[in-house]
Amino acid sequence: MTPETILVQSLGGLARAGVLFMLAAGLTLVFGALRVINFAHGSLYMVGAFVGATIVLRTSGNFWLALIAAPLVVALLGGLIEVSVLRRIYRREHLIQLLATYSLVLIVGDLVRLIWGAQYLSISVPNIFAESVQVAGQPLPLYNLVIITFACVTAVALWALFYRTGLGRDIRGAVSDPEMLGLVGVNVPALFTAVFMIGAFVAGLAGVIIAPSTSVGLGIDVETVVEAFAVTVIGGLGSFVGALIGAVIIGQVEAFGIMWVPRAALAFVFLAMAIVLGLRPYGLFGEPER
Amino acid sequence: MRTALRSQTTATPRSRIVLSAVAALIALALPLLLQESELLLVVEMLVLALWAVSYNLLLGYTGLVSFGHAAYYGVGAYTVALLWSKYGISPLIGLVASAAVTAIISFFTGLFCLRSVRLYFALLTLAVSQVMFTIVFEWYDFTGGDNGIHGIELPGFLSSAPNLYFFVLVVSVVCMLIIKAIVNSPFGGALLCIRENRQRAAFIGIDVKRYELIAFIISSTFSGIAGGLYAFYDRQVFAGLLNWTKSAEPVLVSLIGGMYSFFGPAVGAALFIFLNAFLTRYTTYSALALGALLLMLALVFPGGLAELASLARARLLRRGQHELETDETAAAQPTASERKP
Amino acid sequence: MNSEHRRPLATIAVVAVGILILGSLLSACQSSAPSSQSAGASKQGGETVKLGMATDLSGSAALLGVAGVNGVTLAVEDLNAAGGVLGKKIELIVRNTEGRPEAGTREVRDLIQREKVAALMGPVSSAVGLAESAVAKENKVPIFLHTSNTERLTVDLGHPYVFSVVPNTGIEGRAQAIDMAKLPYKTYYIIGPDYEFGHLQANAFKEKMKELRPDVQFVGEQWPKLGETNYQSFITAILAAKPEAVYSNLWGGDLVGFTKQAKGYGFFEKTFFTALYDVEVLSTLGSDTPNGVRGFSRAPFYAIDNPKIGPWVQKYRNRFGIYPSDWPIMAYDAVNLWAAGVKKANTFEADAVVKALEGYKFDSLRGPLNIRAADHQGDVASYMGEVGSTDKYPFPIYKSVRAVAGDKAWMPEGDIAKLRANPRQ
Repeated sequence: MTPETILVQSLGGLARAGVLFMLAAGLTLVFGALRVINFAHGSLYMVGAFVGATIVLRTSGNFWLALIAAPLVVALLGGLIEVSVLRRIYRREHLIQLLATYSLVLIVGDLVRLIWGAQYLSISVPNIFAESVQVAGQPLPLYNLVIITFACVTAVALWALFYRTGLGRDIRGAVSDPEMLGLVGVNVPALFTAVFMIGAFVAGLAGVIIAPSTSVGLGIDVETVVEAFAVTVIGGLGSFVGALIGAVIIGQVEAFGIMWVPRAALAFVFLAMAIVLGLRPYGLFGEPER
Repeated sequence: MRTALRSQTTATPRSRIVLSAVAALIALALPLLLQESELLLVVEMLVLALWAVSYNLLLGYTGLVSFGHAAYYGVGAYTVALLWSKYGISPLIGLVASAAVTAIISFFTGLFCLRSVRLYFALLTLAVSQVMFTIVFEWYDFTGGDNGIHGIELPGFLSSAPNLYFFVLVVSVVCMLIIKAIVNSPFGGALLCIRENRQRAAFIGIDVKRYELIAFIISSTFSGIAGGLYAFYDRQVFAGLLNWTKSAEPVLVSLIGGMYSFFGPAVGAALFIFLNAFLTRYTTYSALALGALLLMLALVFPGGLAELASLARARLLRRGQHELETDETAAAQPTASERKP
Repeated sequence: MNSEHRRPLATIAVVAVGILILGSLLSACQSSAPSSQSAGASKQGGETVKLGMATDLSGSAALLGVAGVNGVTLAVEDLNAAGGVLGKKIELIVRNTEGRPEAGTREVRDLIQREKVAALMGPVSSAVGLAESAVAKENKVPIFLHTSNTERLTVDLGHPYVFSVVPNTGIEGRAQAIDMAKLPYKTYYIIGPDYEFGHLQANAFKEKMKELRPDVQFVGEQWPKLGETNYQSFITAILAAKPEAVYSNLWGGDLVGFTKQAKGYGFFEKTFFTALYDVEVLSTLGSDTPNGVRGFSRAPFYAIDNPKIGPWVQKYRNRFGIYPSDWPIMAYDAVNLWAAGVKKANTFEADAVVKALEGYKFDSLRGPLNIRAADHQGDVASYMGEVGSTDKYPFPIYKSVRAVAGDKAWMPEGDIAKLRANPRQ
């Protein structure tokens, strides 16, 4: 294997990592603050992709509008879900929460089919990103770099939100001690709604970002959420840095794994998860459960 | 089965005997009352009921959540199918073998997964089961790949639907009664103790990890038998039987029926199969309707049908000027706040 | 305990969920109406005969399922408009298996035993197809396959009651090898979806290619999972192996994703590529279609050389507002094959219909088909050509269309008996 191959292969893996990170960040944020495993995270991502693609197709190619509007729509949907469903079951067991979010997967999946039909959608990469760039003498899609950049921007923005704003301080407070937060006068229900909407927004953003490089169809909700879930677990549930590192690991494992053992492609994610959890039972950056 | 639940929650032994007799009579009469397709739906219910009850030994009685129990169900089904297709061994022997094979496999996977606790244990079971799924899915030469093995031939006496029904009925009921005996034994008591408080259990001298491993193996073994019965029912096995989407089924039906009641998961299984079959007849959007029902359950009756039943019973008793007695179910069921981590 | 269940919010939740259920049921009635109700004629009081179809209407294969239901619906409407079959109007019952084999088993059994359907139309996924075929065999009801196409359905696990009007994996793979053997390429790479269809179809291609061109080498294989959205690493892995040609049986949304991602790597300039570019994929890709890429498919309407197809396409467009893809054409043929069998046998009785159809010369939308007695497979053609844009249609089509006849590519009769005795599994 030549150094060029390794470079190209790892860049492909990094683009995948970008998308996985954007999904895992939302999952881990919601788990960290709300202690809810949101199975329906993939559904939010799917809605983002469908809404985004529809906007682009209806406005004859306005990707930027989609990039703003679709995540907002998803955030609103997230807010609705938080207020009408999750808020009522925070005090329940994890399993009941899982049952609720699982039922949301079924509901949203069929609603998307009801609204958009079975037809898959496809939008083109925006013109300015449609070029290829030369890396090590090989053309690479410029859009991959765009995805990586967007993931980095998202990471920085979330970091700034957590560590440079009052809202972020409250969220961190919620992660470490939600009861304390109520005592010091923070409106905890509103905070939780905000957190869930931020998670939904990022999921919707990931959906729009991924849309130009793939087909938007039924089934992408479950397909992707399992991998994002694995990333979150490997990094450690609730850990933001963990989601970042986990995404990079999974991206690279997939990229190089298929070169050596193509037939095991299905298992890479779970093998990585089993190995990491076998070595570190709480994930790389996770903490023992309270 | 519904009568079985009631018999369990009703206190007096005489009514329990009467209700068991009624249940047995109904079970015997079913082949006369139902069409073949409906009878086979009942067979499907029995298979899932056994799987759910054995799963609930972990979930409801030990407090261990497994997200990968389809692996053992699938291995059980494949054991029957592979022994038949590769070595011409009768599925009856295959069914016994499926218990042995899943017991051995679950010993090792259990040992590995139990290194983690609680949520991370659940995730580890998921990861391990997906690796097993991939092996079955990809190993075309041995397992037939994703589409699996078809046309399993059953012994002659099982070729008619009523006979198959009675066979599955006997095997699943006997297995459930064995699990019930385990639950009621001192071993079961120790499991409940672990569920309530692992530290306290360790303090009073229970070897927690060891008990959890044994519970895991027992649960997986009976799941394997349920999988073996599935191979009898469908006469085909396919990789999807091991996939995580399948793993969701025992969790769902345990929650539907109520995980703190012994037969709750069995009732949940019957309802789940019925709903699936029923909704599909009337709509091609059955997932939407099923999702809405599950959501309602999660929001309003988190204790499942068992909670519903005990509520209704409490109201009936009050109306009949009886004292409200705490039954087995209610006693075994901690309140929501206690369960909050 | 009780107070918790009497809160007003809980009541609201129950009501909301109830509305949701009601809404879903209503919408379902609405959406399934054209398929299950209008085609039926039971309300007229005349005698009817039922036709069952349990197919995959959810998940990534849903588009093919819906298209198949369209084709079947149109066929039933046409037959009913012409007075039905043997004087009986046809009533179509459609069920959704969601791609789960166990649902296929259950639904088909219900259709046969409770609804008493006279015949079944097949599903999309071959796993569901195998499950349904087994129930059909057991209950002696004919099933007509139009989309699911693993060769195991008609060959290894074939039985008297299964018929196929879709090129099976063997026919399709071998037909592509016959056409591609003329090309100069010596090194091939294979990429296909990781399930039975992908593997069997690629194997048939490889075997035929090795037979026709012993000098061809297969330098690697990749098997992304069905429904994969990320092909980056697969693409770079293929390019690193520097094959002259890449043979692929990726299809649908997967192929759309692969094509879009591969473009940025200059993939189509670096290697020759062929895959299942059907009408559906090409209209979705639109301007993202790589010019000159080699496509193959099962029934591209514009490539079919048969006078019947033109008016039919017009009728389909009037009925559904879109151009037909491959799937409704084959599904339409499936219903009409059954109807032809019934008319020839002059009864709905399964064994007589089966007998009537063995060796039957069927006048299909794709031209005359011969239903071989040995495996009940129609000698359906496979189509291929280089993709380019056109003024005639709002999507790219095959230029220089070629077709390989089914009887050139199907499994020799002698091999069928061997595989039935010793099935692949």
